[in-house]
Amino acid sequence: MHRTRRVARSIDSVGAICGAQAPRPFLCHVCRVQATSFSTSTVQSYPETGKVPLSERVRRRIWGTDQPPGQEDPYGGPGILDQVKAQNKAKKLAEQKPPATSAISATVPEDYEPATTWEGLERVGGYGNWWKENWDPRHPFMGFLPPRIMTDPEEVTAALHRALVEVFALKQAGEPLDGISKATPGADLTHDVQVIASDAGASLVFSENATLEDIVLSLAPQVEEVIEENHATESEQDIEADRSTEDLLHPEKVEETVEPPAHEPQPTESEEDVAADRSEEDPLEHQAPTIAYAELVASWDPSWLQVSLDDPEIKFAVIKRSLQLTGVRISDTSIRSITTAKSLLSHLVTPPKPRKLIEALEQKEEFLNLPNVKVHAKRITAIDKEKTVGRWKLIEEELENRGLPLTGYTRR
Amino acid sequence: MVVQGIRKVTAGQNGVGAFILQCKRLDFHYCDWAGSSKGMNSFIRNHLQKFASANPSIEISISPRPNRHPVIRGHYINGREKAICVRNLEPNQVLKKAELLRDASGEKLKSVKKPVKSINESVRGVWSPYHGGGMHV
Repeated sequence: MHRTRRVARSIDSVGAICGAQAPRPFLCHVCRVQATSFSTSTVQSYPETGKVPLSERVRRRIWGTDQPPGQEDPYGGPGILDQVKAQNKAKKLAEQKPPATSAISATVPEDYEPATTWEGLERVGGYGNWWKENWDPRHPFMGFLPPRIMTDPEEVTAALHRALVEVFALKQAGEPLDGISKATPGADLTHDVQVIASDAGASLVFSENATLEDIVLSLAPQVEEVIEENHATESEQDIEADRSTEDLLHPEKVEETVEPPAHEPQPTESEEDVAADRSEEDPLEHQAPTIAYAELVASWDPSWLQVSLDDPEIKFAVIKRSLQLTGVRISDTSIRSITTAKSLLSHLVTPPKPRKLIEALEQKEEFLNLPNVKVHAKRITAIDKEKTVGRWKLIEEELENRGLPLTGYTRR
Repeated sequence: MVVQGIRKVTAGQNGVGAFILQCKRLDFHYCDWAGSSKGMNSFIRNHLQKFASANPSIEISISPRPNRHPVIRGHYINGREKAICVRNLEPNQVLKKAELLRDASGEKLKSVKKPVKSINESVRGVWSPYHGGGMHV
């Protein structure tokens, strides 16, 4: 009891102490000091308590008056960051507030009733008819690569020859080589064209069937015609209208569109002829599968394989076109090493790397022909072992007699 | 027809007799997918042809064994088998194992303690208690 002073020890003072401490929770001195030192903003308590802080008293003494000029509490209040934040928040709130709220509420009709079901409401968002318009059967996806990848070496050789002829024809005509792949590959006009290696790349020797103009025209894109074909309908009137537009547009489109010489659209009367014309207009069906590629390749001067592809522009155009024609992809690393048409052909013709060991072994006939070697494509099972010694028939028979399965277990 | 040793009418001894390779068949099992078969696949692709043509008396069969380690299994005239797992081995190491199986006799491995091994009967004959001079105690 020595902590309380002797004077305050009387029993009377106990009630006064308890009454004074009762309204506040007890706080030790350390907590009180810490609480005041950690507060970010000082609380202006002196008007309530009547106590004036030291800073304010000094300030008043300096100015010599009880109401010094300047801020009311220059050493307290919210910090500058808090003030800026509060200003920004107020600005945002002012911007977000819709200005025409009252106008909208004014236009709502009096008989307006909020909908309780979705029926009859306008549908907003989603893809709409985009998929139908872009992916329905009338707008099929046409990829850059052909659907069938060429595997016949002679056919690939002919395709590479065609790519070379078309690229050098474009170059000879002064056209940009970028447009080499814009047109869907149509009939091959380059069968009779000879490519001869020269110092400036290659020189082309054209024939009567295929001139430079024909080939260059065949490489022009045919966008408008395709659209017309797709929208063609079956009625006579529409067909006639189509024909008339073709005829009208024909003189204008001479430089843009190319039609094979054998398929000039002749106006006919019957529906069948029209249908036949349409089917022939499909450029992909021009390629007759009965072309003897071996004879064709043999008819060309063999020097065309020596054509240099050192010019990167020409190399890129040739590879792009051959990719479009054959569908055979070439790796970037091998493109670097390609310098002539022959090396490009070797990459196009090379069979793909075998994925299985058996495929690699099948190419080694000498190995397979060894009398003591046998190669199995599949795992040798227990049944295979029994078959080699001729026991399997007996086992099979016995299993069947006993109603047992030949492989696996019985279901119970 | 299984290769068999020539039945002996008389004992061919002292080098008078044909040498018969004890290994009659080698099975090479590989996996196309697993990396542990990489060396084995390379061996089959590049070295096995030479090995097979150098050993025409051994039947060689190659078959896949998917999702398992590669194995060479030797079959011997005495009816026994010997299998060696060649996982993660280089092609040259696989060749060594194939040669080991080729040269093996097919017998169980046993420690050889004596320097000379002979199938000849002893010159002195088998000892018998009823023969000989006997011993006077």
